[in-house]
Amino acid sequence: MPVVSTERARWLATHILPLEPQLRGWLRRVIPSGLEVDDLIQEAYAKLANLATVTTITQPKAYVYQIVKRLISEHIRRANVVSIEAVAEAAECFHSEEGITPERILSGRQELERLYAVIAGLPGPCRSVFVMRKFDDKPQKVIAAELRISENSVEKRMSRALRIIMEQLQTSAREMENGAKLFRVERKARREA
Amino acid sequence: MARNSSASSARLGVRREPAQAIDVTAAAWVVRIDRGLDESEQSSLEEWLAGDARRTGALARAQAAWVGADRAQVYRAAGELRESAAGKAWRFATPWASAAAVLIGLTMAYQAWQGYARTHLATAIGEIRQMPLADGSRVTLDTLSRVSVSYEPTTRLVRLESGEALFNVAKDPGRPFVVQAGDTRVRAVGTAFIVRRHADGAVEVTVTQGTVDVWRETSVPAAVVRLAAGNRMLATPQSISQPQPLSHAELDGAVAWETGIIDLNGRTLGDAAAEFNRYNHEAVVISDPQLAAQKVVGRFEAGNPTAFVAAAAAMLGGHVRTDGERLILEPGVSIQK
Repeated sequence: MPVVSTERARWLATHILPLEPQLRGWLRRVIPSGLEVDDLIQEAYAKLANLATVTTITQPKAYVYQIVKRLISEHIRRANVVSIEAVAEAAECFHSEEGITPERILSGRQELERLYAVIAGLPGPCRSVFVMRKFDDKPQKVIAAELRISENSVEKRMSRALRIIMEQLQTSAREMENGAKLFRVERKARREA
Repeated sequence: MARNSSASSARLGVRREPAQAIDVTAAAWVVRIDRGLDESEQSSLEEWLAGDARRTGALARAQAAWVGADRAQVYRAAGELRESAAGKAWRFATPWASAAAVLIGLTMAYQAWQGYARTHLATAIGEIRQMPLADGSRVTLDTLSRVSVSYEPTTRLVRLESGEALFNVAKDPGRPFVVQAGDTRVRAVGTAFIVRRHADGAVEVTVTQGTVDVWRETSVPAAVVRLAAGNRMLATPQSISQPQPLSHAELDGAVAWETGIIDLNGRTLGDAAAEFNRYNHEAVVISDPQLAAQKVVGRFEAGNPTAFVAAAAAMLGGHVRTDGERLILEPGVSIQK
């Protein structure tokens, strides 16, 4: 079956999506030239979606970093022309620390807060259909009837809403990094004061 | 094979579909799957997925975002989202509250114009609300809680008149943020903390970020206790406790209410019932003292006492009797002996 099961989607939502900002941040720092962060992220999700079971994964974070590292080495191996730089860069990436400072990890509550803020910040027409679907549990057909718009418009607005949410959940990586940096600078200033 | 060639083609300079474009299509598919696919759509989805290995990943990721968005439901503010989405005024729990809303609106407008003013904010039973303050700070009120806010040129003063509130304080070193709860004072500059007034007069302070100073405003000058993130202290009319470090689980439990969750981390059933009764008109009644002393664990939706009582009955082997707005948990055979 090509469609990802709801159960798997929920597992990804709980264990992998929240890691994505830090995973992307790490990738941006270590990725060998010629590879794209977005590609690797999609490929990693594909691996996770294709696994027969995820119940045996006790440490999703370590697991997903492992997958990404393996993908990078596959790319290097498969490339027709392998530059020495790329190999060196890849080696560096395998040894780089992926440990994340505590202040960069969002708690479950902060994560919900962020998700909520993203939904609240959606453009009006997208937000209304998304909220009706997700909070009121109304089928798309019913939403179309209530708003007196075509089902096709509901679909368009809904997928735009989802796209914005997907983008927001990943781009916050930089903000979070900046936030952590600020936090460290402040802490240092306080210590020195 | 198409999958393998797509990965290495980038290196050979062959343009391939950018990941962002795949994301756009994946999001559209997730919405179509949600409304139901017909047979021809099903096969074009399969065809699309087979074209590039990344597409399965993009679809999985989009579905995760779609399913994950359900979690935002636990925020009680759903009503607000919906109403503002339709371009109407916010919905409040009671007509009294909507009158209060007008008052808040007016006083906030006044505050903006005047520079400072006093504002009252309150929640009804079962309501959890997050409200922005003029300086960018936020206050989240738990069920049946009340604060008054008065911003003055040198201090940001918030009185917790009843209940429990979480404060996310915007930094402003020149203008400390002070919470008054009875004669207990909590002062912060830029930080996040929870203040709870217990029915017996005790005031509990839990810090989730930064540092606060806590003291009691009494006739005799009292000691100031400095409380750092991850610590909790209790001020009673008689004394003020030293900071107690909390575990991660305890800290999560302390802020769980903000998302509409009650976290019962080994509390007694009697305690748990009292906690649920803070949020609901329906009262959970534990008739048997022995049963009330049993420990329970788990996270429950604050607004769903029925589910909690059913789970407790299953955990501890009792049964549930409903009597009007009372949910009575009675011991079953296994406990009575």
